[in-house]
Amino acid sequence: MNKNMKILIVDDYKTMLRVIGNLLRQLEFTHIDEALDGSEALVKLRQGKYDLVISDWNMEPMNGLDLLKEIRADAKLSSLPFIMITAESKTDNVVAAKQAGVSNYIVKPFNAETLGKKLASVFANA
Amino acid sequence: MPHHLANTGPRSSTDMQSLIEQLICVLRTRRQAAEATLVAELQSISGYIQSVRSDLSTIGPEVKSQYIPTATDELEAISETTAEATNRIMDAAESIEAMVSGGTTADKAALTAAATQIYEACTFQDLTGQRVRKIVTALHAIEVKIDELIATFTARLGVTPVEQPPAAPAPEEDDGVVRAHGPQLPGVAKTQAEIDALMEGIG
Repeated sequence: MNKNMKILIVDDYKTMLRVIGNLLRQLEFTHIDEALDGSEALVKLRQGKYDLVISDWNMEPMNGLDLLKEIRADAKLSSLPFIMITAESKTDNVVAAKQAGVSNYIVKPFNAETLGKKLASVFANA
Repeated sequence: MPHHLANTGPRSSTDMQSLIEQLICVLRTRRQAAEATLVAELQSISGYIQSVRSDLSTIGPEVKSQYIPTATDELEAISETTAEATNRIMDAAESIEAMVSGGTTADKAALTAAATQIYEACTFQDLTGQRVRKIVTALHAIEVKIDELIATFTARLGVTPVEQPPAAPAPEEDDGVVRAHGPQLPGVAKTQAEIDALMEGIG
């Protein structure tokens, strides 16, 4: 797995951006950017080149599922790996995310080991 | 038709008159019973309305003006306080992690592991924040319902009309849109293993 990949973390809780960012840095990823919701993320994704999106679901104005759908519908972004990290654990949520093309799904609260494994899994399948 | 009025063959006009009189008597008796039932039902409904009016008159405007806003503010304060505390914990963990470069390999590993555990534990703030948000939304919905009830009975109670309540959150519709539900309660929330199994099972 390329530790130089550029990762965009999307979450409306700044604490979570900080937590996920620190855990990624512990996993030796150094190119980490942040966005506070789906629309801000889309702007960044369309302006720069990213290798992975790690996003929360429950955000305003654009939530994580809608961000995922926008990415999959965008010809330039459609193959971008996308990991959902969310408290949404109901079956219909997981199914909807999977059907929308999520690469992997992590339920909160999570630990560093789970994050590392899911990252490895996404890029092993890429 | 009652058994004693059953048709048993040709009748004289006297017989027919007698039968009609019996029929009228039966219908009158039935109507009286139906009326009695109706009156009893109306009395029951009237008593219920009286009880609701009495309950509403004791709610008072402080529920809307004081209790619910106070509860909402307190919950939001909890969320802000935990966010501040979490950020301070994170500051401390980052400081500890920054010192890793100066120690032995074993020290580095131990400090990094400790910092990791602190970061992991700090995810609680996001979950509690989302739970607080759900409670605040529920309180607003209760506030709206109380407003609606009071407005309904305002004229009869002689109370000054309440202000137009804010729009209630739209009920979840079966429109094919999958909505966010927020954190599930412990025991209800799926584990990571269950999520993984679900992901594997979806084509």
